Amino acid sequence: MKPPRLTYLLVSFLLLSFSDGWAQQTDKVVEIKEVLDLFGPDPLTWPVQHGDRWCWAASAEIIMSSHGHTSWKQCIQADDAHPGKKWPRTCCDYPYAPACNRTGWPHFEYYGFDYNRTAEPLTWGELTNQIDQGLPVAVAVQYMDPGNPGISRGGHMGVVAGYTVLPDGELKILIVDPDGFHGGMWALYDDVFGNSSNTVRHWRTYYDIRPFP
Amino acid sequence: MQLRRHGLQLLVLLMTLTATVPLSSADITCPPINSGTVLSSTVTPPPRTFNPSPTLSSLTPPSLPNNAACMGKSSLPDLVTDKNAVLLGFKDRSEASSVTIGEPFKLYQVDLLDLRRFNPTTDNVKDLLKLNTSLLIYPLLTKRPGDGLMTRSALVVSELKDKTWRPTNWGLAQLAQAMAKYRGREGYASGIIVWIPSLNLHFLGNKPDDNEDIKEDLMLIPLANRLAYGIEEGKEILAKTVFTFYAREANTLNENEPG
Repeated sequence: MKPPRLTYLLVSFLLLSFSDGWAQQTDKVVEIKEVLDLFGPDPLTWPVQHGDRWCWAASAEIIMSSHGHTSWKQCIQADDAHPGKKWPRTCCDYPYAPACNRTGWPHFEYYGFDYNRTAEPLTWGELTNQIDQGLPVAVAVQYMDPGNPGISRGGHMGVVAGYTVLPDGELKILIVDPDGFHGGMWALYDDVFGNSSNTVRHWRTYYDIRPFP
Repeated sequence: MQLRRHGLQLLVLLMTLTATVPLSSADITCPPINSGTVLSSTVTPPPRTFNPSPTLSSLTPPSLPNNAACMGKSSLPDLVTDKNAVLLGFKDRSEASSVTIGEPFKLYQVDLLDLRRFNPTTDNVKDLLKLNTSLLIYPLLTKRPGDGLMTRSALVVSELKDKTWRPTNWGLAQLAQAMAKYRGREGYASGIIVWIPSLNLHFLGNKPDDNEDIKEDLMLIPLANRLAYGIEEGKEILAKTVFTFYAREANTLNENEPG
């Protein structure tokens, strides 16, 4: 009697398919908490920076829009943050004018929002509590030269919109970068809120951002 | 006879399936990782064929960038949901399980203070560029019907203060796609990124050979539009010109606020 070769092949194939080497983490579920729904279904329609230096205004626009307040465009925020310019009349006319395309900090209070801000990094518990409440957080990091950490090299701001803990215990945060070309990214909590990075360090966090009651 | 023919067809089918996504010699091959395991940090690998026999270990962080990239790849299916997939560059969650890691990009950084002092008539371009030896960007590629194997996203691995290499960022989709797109141009294959963090500017540099020094006539391809200075994504420009433009901007930048 000839051996049933097709059966052998099928059995070998099935055994290979279910061997450890091919099993890719099917036995654990990693819980991810994220508030991306607040920004709308399509990331391509979320606010992005309209000026090269407007990460602070774009981050604020993303967060205020997530509460349904969509009027506070970046150019309006730039006008309010840098008053007294002679030209242009408004930064909405020419965002790239030197008087407009400037660094800054969000002023949520100008637009009917309560908030807290801190130069101390939020603890993991404080940060995740914000996301659990459906509150995105604005965070700025500062670039540094490890050889000369006392001197600021400027920085960048983005929106923390999610978190997770991986099976190895590592804490991760989901950041939406408003600059229009970084998009979103997962980052190590310790890189942004801790002290592990050689390149960046925490600068300032805006949290508990809610419309006035 | 019938069984033999079916067996042969199955073999041919299997061989076809395994050969449909060929890895180029530049791709990073990761060993299979079982649930809950990490790669050992103790094996010193030859280039591109690292850690040939991964072992189970305790939660020891990897010491090498390629191992860190493999760890990052293994975490990816846990980090991509159907909700965040598009934001991170993927079509959907399942696509993140089939990524191939490409050859990494090196990063040359331009410091704000150096840029402020840059004088094109007396200073060298190469003196402005400092290789960041603690950070690499790996493109993440997937195959889709219609456009084949292409970069969708990226993985950043960093050497942290504790001297371990770890995957630190997953995503950066548009930047990753632009980096990969222009790397195909002649002279840009070695994949160097010129980054001016203070001004949030990224360029691809034409350093044709890994062993070659940066030249004074270094050319850059902007990876995003910077309309204030007429810099357009994809339009090649002399590095010296870029640094001359942005030395002025650097001098007006308020380094005490983000931007």
